[in-house]
Amino acid sequence: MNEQFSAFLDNEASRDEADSAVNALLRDESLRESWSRQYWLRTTLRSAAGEPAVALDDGFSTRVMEAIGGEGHAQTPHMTTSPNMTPRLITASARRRRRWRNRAASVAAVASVTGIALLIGSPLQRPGSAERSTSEAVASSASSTDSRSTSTSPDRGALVPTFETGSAVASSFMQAPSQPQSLSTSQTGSLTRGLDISSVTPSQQILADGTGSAQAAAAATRPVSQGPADNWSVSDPALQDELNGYLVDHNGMSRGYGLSGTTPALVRVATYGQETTQ
Amino acid sequence: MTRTLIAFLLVFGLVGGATAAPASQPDETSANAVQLLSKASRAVRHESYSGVLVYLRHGKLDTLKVVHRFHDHDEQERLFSLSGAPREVIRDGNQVTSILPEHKLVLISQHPPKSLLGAVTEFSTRQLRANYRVADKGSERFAGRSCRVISIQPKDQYRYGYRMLIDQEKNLPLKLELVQHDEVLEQLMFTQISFPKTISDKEFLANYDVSGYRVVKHEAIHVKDETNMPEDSWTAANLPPGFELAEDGVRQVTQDGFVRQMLFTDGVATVSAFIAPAGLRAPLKGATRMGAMNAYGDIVDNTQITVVGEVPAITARRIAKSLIRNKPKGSSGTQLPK
Repeated sequence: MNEQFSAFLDNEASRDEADSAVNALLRDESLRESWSRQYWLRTTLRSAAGEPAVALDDGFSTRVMEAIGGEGHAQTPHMTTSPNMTPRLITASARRRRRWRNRAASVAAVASVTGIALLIGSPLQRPGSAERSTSEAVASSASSTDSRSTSTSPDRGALVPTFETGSAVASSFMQAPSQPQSLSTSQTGSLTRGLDISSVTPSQQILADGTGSAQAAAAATRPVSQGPADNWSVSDPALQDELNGYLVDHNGMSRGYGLSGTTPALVRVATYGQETTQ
Repeated sequence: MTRTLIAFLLVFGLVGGATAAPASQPDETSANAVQLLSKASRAVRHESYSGVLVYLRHGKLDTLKVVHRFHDHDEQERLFSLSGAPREVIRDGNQVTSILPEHKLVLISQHPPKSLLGAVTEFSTRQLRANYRVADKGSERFAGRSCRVISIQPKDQYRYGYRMLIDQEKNLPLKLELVQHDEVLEQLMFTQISFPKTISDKEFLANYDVSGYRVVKHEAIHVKDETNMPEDSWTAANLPPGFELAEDGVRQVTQDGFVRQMLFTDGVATVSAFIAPAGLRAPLKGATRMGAMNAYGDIVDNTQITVVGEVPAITARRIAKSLIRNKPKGSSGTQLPK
């Protein structure tokens, strides 16, 4: 079964194999944990090559051990790579990684440290983020999450959340045109999308480092790149937030059309930002 | 909200645009299958159920506990995360409350009643049949229950396919797969499900003591109530085949700032186009994606167009390119650049 998971995670599984892997996951809690772990190791390994060096902190080994113990999956920074590059990376390194599995913990430990440090460090490293309080940042993020209804709601928008506590948001909005990189509504990025930043950049570096292709270099500088599964494939966190806001609004308005009535409606709300909210 | 749910396994087929489904197959859409979808649409809102949902996307797995009932003419639903960041979402009629304990934050969003009703009535079998082949693929055991397997195959490359397992007794969809080129892009499934006759009120109460949490309230207000609506309007001139305009609304985001949202559907998939003044933030031009969701940005007439939906990239792009601003009727227009 482990080999099946490996193939599954590496996207080398056939439809039947994938189904079988998923069914096994559903049946068996311990398999789920194992799967989680494998996924976690893979993402960290993929990211490890391109991670910038970040100073370790005292708690890192604890977190690493927790993560390796199976709890790390959900907390793991989302370090996807673009769909274009991932298959290449995977096929190039899949076997090697399988061999490495026994040694993976140490590598993953390093990766997790850098990942976690990036996650925590991002807000502080952002220009202009100091004025924004954490709660406001969360509010702007979460308001997007929550405003599913709102084709007609005037008090919140994908562009600029203007809810009652949003004065800082508004002021950052005012700055947005002149400094789009300072994240207007998206100090959320600090908390939620911070991971996107720590993921996009390293993965692009992986590509650059791993393949040396000119395309990789180009990808690193393009504002829009082909991207990962859990985060919008844009490098500008403000854009990511806006797209997330649009996504929420889209979900709000589309409820009742097409298949939108056939599944519990709030799942995306409940999972939105899960992978990036720490 | 299906498209909404989408999670993710094998994503890599998405980028280059889809290949057309074989067009030579006969239209095998069965009335039974379509009827079953309608029933599923109703069941998901009217049944009482309690279970664990797994949401898979691109190798990522989230688990959620879900309880749901239809009580006193209202839907009540509570979801809370079993993995990842703690989060809880409670729907009570038209009000949705999201609790983010790690941030000591409560968000309360009130929806116009319309958004919670009429889901079934707007399930367009005409469009469904025109754009998809819907087939009953027999039965399958899942989560210990007997299910009908419904396959929804796109007739062209402008949409994804779906495979749904619908509980034979309760009609509740227990598993949903989003498919492209025989690849499962995302899966949402119950791994545990029960249908208790009654679910007690306390099941719908928040787990967290939210005293001391900050509360942010959003109240939807109909655009009609607003006086300073923008005067411009937009038309989609060359939509992808099968897509039709479903809704066209405007949301006020600042004192004099509006975002127009136009919703398009082909009977199964939905896509929104957002139209806002350009220059508010870094422009989005071209394609971007997140899992099965695709977005396409374009700037026309000093206006940022952003199309977002759970559709293939080519569909998002074509919708973005199809939008044309109508000529203003009044003398002033709204500072329309040419």
